[in-house]
Amino acid sequence: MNAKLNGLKTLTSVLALSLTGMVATPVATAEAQSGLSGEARYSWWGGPSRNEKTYDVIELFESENPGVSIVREPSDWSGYWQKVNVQAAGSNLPCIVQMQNRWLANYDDPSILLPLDDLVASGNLDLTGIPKPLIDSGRGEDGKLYMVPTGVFFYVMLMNQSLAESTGIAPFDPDSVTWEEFKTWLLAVNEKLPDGVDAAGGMPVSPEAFIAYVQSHGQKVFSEGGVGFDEAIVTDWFNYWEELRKAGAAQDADSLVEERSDLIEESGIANGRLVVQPRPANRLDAHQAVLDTAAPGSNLDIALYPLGPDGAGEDVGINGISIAAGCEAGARDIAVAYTNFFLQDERAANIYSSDNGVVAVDRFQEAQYKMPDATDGQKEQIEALRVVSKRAKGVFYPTGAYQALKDSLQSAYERVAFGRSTPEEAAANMINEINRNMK
Amino acid sequence: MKDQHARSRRKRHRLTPQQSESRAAYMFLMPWFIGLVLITIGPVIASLYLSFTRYNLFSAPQWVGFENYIDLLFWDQVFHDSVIATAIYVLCSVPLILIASLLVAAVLNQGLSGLAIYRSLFYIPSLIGSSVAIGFLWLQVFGDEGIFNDFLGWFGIAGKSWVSDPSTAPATLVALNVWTFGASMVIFLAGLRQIPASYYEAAKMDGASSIAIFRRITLPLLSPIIFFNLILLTIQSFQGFTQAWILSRGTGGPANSLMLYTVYLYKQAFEQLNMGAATAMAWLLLLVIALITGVLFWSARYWVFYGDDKQ
Repeated sequence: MNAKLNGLKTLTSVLALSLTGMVATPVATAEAQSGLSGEARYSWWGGPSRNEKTYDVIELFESENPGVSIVREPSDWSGYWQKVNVQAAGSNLPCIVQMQNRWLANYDDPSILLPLDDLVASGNLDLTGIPKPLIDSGRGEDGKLYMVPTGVFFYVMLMNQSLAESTGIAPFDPDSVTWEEFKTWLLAVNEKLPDGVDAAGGMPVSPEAFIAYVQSHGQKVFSEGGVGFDEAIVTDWFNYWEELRKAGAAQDADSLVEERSDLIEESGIANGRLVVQPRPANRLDAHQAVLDTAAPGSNLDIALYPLGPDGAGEDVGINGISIAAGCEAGARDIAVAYTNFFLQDERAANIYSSDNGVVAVDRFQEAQYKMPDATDGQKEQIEALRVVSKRAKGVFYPTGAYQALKDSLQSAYERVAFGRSTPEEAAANMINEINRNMK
Repeated sequence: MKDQHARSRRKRHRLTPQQSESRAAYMFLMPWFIGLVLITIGPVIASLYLSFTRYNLFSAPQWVGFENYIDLLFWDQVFHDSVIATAIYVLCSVPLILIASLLVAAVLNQGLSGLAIYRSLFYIPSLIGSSVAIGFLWLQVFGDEGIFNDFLGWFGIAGKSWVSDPSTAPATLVALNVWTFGASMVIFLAGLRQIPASYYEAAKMDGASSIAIFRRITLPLLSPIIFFNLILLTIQSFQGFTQAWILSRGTGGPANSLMLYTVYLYKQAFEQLNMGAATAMAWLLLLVIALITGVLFWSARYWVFYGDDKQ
């Protein structure tokens, strides 16, 4: 775990260098695979837009590898990990599994996922151009590589710039605002907003926003066997949002519950009901597309999480590809070939266009930023990562930790917002619950 | 001599028609029996063992004794919330379904024309009520901008999001369960048809009121059916899952008010991968259902009338 944490600490600095083109990496070309035949199953999560891009990448791969068939198994995000759990328990995992570093600890075992070190060492798996700290974040607690990174994701606050400007309140600096300044700004903006629009939504129950708050106040998120933060910081977090909620500057409790869905089409920010909401940076375009219909002319922007006494606190995560341990030899070859294709083929990278996090291969990052048809969302995402990668603080997620944090934070704050617990009681319960689930 | 010996041996081993029939019956039962052992009894016994272990699906179970049970019963706040949510759900749903289904069955038993149509209309919700689609429909009906609020608006009552408030969300879940009273109603209707018309005629000739007839004739003669429905509904309600999952969007919220026992069990098993705790929960549920069913059977002697009872 320590080696992994060290890797995460250096991740951000190397990311920053690679994003500015300072890491020299050889330009590799993906060789057309030959001699492959048969099929391999491939599961990933995503909505219609990502599914379409993934299908296009698969079709391109199949067209270059006649006789190879990729069995598509797309899923919605909600329910994806339950499906993977059941498949892994039944030794029925698809050969190619989309993975995320927050969940990797659940599966980092050679009986579930194939350790990829030998394939990398032999040159069969081509990780050219991926910074080493990124690669290391795909390692399990045993130090073996179980996931190759394909995209770097991070959460931000999506901000409805048009709504914010309409209030006439001076904007905050999206890169250097502090939590206290942010609160003051939300209270001021709230005074000028039309009925039915809240200044902030979804923040108190967002694990990513909470992590940013905790780490920006100098505390750790997880330690060995439990949480790394204390009750006082959780109480502060709840009090922070209760003050805003009671002032009407944050969603009331009912709306917060109604907002639980991860669906973009239902989110407050995409429907013009919120000025600020936490979301993954790579979903900016998708939210903007919905907002264009719900409130034509409104413009979404990215704002980073506020700073605390200890600076920034956000985390940077990795999405990637794993190969199932139970994958048979022929299908395994296809899985390796597909992974190489997904990572190293420029056409594939352009089709996917950083849909699930900024593309991990550094030479494609700049290329995508400069692409004539790059969307504003893609560019903003890459620009934001340039800032985030310099200041982010990596988090190692032990088995079950992310889910436990997500569930406990939500139920604890709901208890506070509905007056069923004091912030102090809810904080104590939340920590107890997470620790129990991480045993 | 030798032949005689062989004949008598064959005679001894020849099966009687009854034995032969039994053997055939056992052969036919064998596939079911193998299925019962491998698919039901085996996993049930395995789950009992797993409830005393720490087990995450992927690695070998570790024996922890009664730790899972102690942890759940004394330290797990969400478990306590799930017990309260389930108790509210069962205690409200079961009596309301019994009352609604009995009343509607009694009305339909009055010899209405088009009975088959009414019966079908009331029965349909019980077929579709536990579907995911109806769960989402319920979210819309009782949401902030749902038709329930439109209905209240006609009377000048301001609505709210009924599924998002922990004080009203359980009621929406109970309402959905009660809406599916059709299956119980059909059973009541069949029971009502079995009560001899001569009893009612005699009571009427004696000048009994409708309420007295219902209390003194219908209810006692229908008590075995009420008992049957009560047992069935109680067990079904303890196992309620889908609608609570959909209405809470898989969270059990708001503030754990929709965290039915089975929802928490599922979350422990497939989200937290705490299979040990989940199987312990399953066994506790089994014990509670068995206990309640036992109490109901014990109480039956005081209020269920089977007609051939010796008073």
